[in-house]
Amino acid sequence: MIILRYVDLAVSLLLVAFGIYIVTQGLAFGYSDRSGVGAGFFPIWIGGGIAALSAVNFLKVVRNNLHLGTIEISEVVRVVFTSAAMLGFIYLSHHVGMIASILVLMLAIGAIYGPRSKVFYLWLLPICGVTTLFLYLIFRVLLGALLI
Amino acid sequence: MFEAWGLLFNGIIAASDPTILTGVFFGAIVGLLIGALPGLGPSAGVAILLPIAVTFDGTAAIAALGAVYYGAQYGGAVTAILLGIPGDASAVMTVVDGYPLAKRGKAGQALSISIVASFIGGLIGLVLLTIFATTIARAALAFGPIEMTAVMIFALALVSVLGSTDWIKSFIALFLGVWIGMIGLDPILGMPRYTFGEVMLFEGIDFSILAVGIFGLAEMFASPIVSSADKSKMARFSFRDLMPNFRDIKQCLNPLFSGSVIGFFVGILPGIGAAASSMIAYAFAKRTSKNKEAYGTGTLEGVASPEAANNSASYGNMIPMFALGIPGSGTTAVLMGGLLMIGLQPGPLLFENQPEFVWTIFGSFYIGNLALVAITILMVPLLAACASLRPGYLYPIVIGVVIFGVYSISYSMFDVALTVLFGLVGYVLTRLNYPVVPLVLGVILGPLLERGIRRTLVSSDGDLSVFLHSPIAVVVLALTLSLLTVPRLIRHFNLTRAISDN
Repeated sequence: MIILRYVDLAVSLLLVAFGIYIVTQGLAFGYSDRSGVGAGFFPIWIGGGIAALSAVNFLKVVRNNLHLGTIEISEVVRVVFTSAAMLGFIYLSHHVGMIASILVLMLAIGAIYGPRSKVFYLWLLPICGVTTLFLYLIFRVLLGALLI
Repeated sequence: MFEAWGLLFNGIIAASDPTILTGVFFGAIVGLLIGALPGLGPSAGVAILLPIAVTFDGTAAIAALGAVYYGAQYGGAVTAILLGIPGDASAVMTVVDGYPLAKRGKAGQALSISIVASFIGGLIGLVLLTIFATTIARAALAFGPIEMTAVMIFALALVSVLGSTDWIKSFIALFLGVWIGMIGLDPILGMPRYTFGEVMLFEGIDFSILAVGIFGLAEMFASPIVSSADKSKMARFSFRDLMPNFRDIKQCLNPLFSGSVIGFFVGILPGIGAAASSMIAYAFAKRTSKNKEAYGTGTLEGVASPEAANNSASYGNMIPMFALGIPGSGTTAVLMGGLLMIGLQPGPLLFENQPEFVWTIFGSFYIGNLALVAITILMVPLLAACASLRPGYLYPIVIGVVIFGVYSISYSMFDVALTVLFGLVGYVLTRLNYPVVPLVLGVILGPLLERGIRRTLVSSDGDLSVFLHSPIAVVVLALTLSLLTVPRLIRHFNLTRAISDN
């Protein structure tokens, strides 16, 4: 299990750093120019806001010993695998085309979220096949999208 | 006022165009399914459909997206009554009385009153939308850039404060959204900002990519994997029971009307939403009922009130978006994104410059609300079956639609990669209790706000006091300031008094 309190603290620190980055970039764009306000005017305020409020949140979590609960590692693994599969689809579609890649991706997503049973996979294959056909008909044939 | 009804009549005729009707029926069916599927809410449904809908003719696209939104309010009740599982958050109160009724063998009666309540709530919401949208838009015509900037600041503050229990995280999410809105070429000076040298980011991030990632993917990632609902527990009903019964309607007249009116006015407030409106309407109906004890044990009034409220609220929610160009919820933010994508800027000028579009859309809402009565009755068995659909079958379909939809916006795999990134960001934020609605509103309103503030400051040579020259802006900014400070001051005062008393 992952304790969300520590994740919150880490994200708060990251956001403080990110806010400072936005401010420094904003300073480079220029806070003001001859017309009055420069391209960096808004980023400086917004970046400053993110950094300041994230610092306040960090202190709040530390001082109040806030408990945000936990999340199962299996859930995080599922999210990482799903994202990786979608990025894998991008790579694969350049080699075998989008139609074949989407079928592989859907089977992978089904395997990630479904139970490990023969019956499930027997149903998954036709569902993914029919969905792929529908996607082709809707996007390529009906909407005329230029698929890879 | 009579002029508005005349325009609406023409709008209903224009909305009878086959293309628009197809959009309405398509959106209504998708909305019903989204509403019935636990784990996917209307904002996710509208976001997922956005890239596909914008490929339709402009009016049909918005009519379809609107139909997804109000269709979802109908669909949520079906699984809530038959299986005790609310399809979306706004159907939570329907479970309280709907499921006990179903267990007592009155599933058909409960479904029938929920459909009637959804229709009446929707109709009252639409009538009030017709009246108030035009009135507010006409009043808002007097607003200049300074006043609109003040109203935008007020709306963003309201959503951030009311939409979450943690205002610090709300504002962080809001500022992150405003930053995402800054990515691309500076709107006034034309220099690239936060593009990381990537030419594809020069035109900024397409809103639908963000919406699909933050609402669609993130909602799916964060949903617990539940085993499919047990079909044997599903209550039985006959089609004859689904037909409206006038004795039941008469019994529920008070909660029907109070729920519709409460739902609409609560729905107008940014950051509140249909779920809260159904809770308030249920509490009001219970308090004013002669039969208080029956609430919670399975009474038709307990189904009628929240169902009328959540449908009415979905139209109330559209008022700030159409009349002021300021969305008050995640779903209306995505709808506004759709309007911007087809080249229309919502706000008071939309009623002046594009009256045909506005009234055709409103007309399509009337048609969709009526059509949903028949569609829902016909689709009840299918909607009930949706609740027993395993995520292992559902998610591959959703991801397939998401990927093809996002890719089709500009035929770019870079957009697909960005969607995955936003899905991950949305997942982390959701898990850490950062509300995502302020982030999405920040992306939509941030660029408008920046342009408004910078143009005003350019014209005033950087003098910030220009915002104090307009009485309307002063009042709105004072309201914003009090909204941010008064609750905290009261809490601090109460705490200090409690400590001194002890």
